[in-house]
Amino acid sequence: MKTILVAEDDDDDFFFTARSLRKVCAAQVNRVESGREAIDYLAAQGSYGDRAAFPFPDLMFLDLKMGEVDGHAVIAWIRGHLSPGQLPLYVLTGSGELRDRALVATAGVARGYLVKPLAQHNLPGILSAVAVRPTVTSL
Amino acid sequence: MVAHQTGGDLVLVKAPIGADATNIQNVLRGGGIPVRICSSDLDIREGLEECGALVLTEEALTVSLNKLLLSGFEVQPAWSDIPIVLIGSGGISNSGASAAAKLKGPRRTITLLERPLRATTLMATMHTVLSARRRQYEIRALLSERDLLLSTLESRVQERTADLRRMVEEMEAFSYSVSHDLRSPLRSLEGYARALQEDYADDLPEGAKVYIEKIARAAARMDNLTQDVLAYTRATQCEMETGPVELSRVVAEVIEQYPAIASAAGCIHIQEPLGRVIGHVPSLIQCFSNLLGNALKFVPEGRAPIIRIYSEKKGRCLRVTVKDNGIGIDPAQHVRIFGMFERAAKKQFSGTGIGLAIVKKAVERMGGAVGVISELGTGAEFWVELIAASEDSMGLPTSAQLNGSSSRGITPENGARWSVAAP
Repeated sequence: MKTILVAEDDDDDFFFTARSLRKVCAAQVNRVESGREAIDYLAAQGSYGDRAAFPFPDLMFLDLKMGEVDGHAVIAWIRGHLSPGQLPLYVLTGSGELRDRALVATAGVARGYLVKPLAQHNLPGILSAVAVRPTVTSL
Repeated sequence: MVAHQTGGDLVLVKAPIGADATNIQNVLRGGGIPVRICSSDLDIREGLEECGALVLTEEALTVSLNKLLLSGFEVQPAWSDIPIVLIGSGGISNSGASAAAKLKGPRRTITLLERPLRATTLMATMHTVLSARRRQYEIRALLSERDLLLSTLESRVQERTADLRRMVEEMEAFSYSVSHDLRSPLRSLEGYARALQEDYADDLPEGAKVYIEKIARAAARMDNLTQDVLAYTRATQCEMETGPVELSRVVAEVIEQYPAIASAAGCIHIQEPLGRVIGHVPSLIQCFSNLLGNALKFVPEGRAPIIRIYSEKKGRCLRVTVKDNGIGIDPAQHVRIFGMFERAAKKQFSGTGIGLAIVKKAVERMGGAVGVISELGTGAEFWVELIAASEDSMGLPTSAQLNGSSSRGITPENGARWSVAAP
């Protein structure tokens, strides 16, 4: 089964994202609640050391505004530690702030910049591009 | 003796022959003027800065003293012009005059007295030159006061600038926080209402469904209001660095960024190229998204929207028009609709009443103007005039420019190229 990682500190927002994903695919959705945890998960370190229990994600949604280590810091870490294209990453954030958009675009790591809530019509394209088979083919 | 720091009446005297120096000193002291007799050139050099005047006899004016005086005068501050009283030996040789001539130069006030010299003449002369010197001290005081004012002014300007910068930063932090945090509970509110409708539709009586729909709509409306108020604040307060902007690119960006506009891209016809203006890209994106959003929204039921975007040169400005085939606006409302929270349309068209206020504010801050041409029922032409940027870097001229035809016409037949916006 494919694994989707959602980095999201807000419980409600995670509920909506997971709900949207569950509706269109059967992937395993794992959650991390901070930038620090996201980096630990991706690096398989700390409490995420077990790769069998926490597989490297096939797709990741990343919130930007999270506590002390935010989404931008996670993007910087990915840039420095993963090879380009290794992790299909989408920013999923609360606002379309130009400053955030510009920072994400400059880093050049994310495949897309999405504003919450995750729109259902966006998902099939995103999922098929990373070979997560959608349960619904057309919407 | 007087405190010389602030400039006093101290008179330096150099008169090397006989009792000359003592005699001069006696006369001046008798008149209440402080005196210092200088026996060497060094004494003069040391006293020059603090003295009110110099009294020299012709015999004192040696080559070395002459040199010292010339260089000393050159380094005087701007306000200073030390008066010299030169006492010539008199007689028919007129050697005093030639000695005075040797000292001449810019900013040098020399008074020549000839022997035999009366005490009253010397005193009257000294009063005159010292009073002139006192005026110089007054000028010095004014100058230093001015310098003090200028230096505090500069620090005050710096302080104010820092304050302003801090305010802008706080403002930006605030709006960032609003756009993230204030909207989050609204999103949840709408999200759970929608989830309730979708997941428990079968268990809900019809009345409950209506209420839930109202909750979802109210949350969405509040979210729109939040975003619009934020956009208005930004249009009013953000730092607006303007530069040359390709308008076609702005419109393409709007269509790409706004899903609601992208889905209607097929009915947006753009006369390419729209040209270049001096503007601020984020503000222009905001303006055109609002204008296009309105053009798509205010269409009577059952009519397919047709929107045209074209530009024309107006003096040093470029006027860009967004023309729709919507419900139109009563001319009596044309001014009102650009105000905050003002709406002309009926309730069936939802909106916050802030969109056009944002456009007006942003365009005016870019040095431009906005307006509308419309009648009720005939569609509307919203225009934005901005300062045109030079065409130099626009690349090849368009066919319209080569043919010499103006870009006023909006039909494809007259050489202008039309494109249908791609989603």
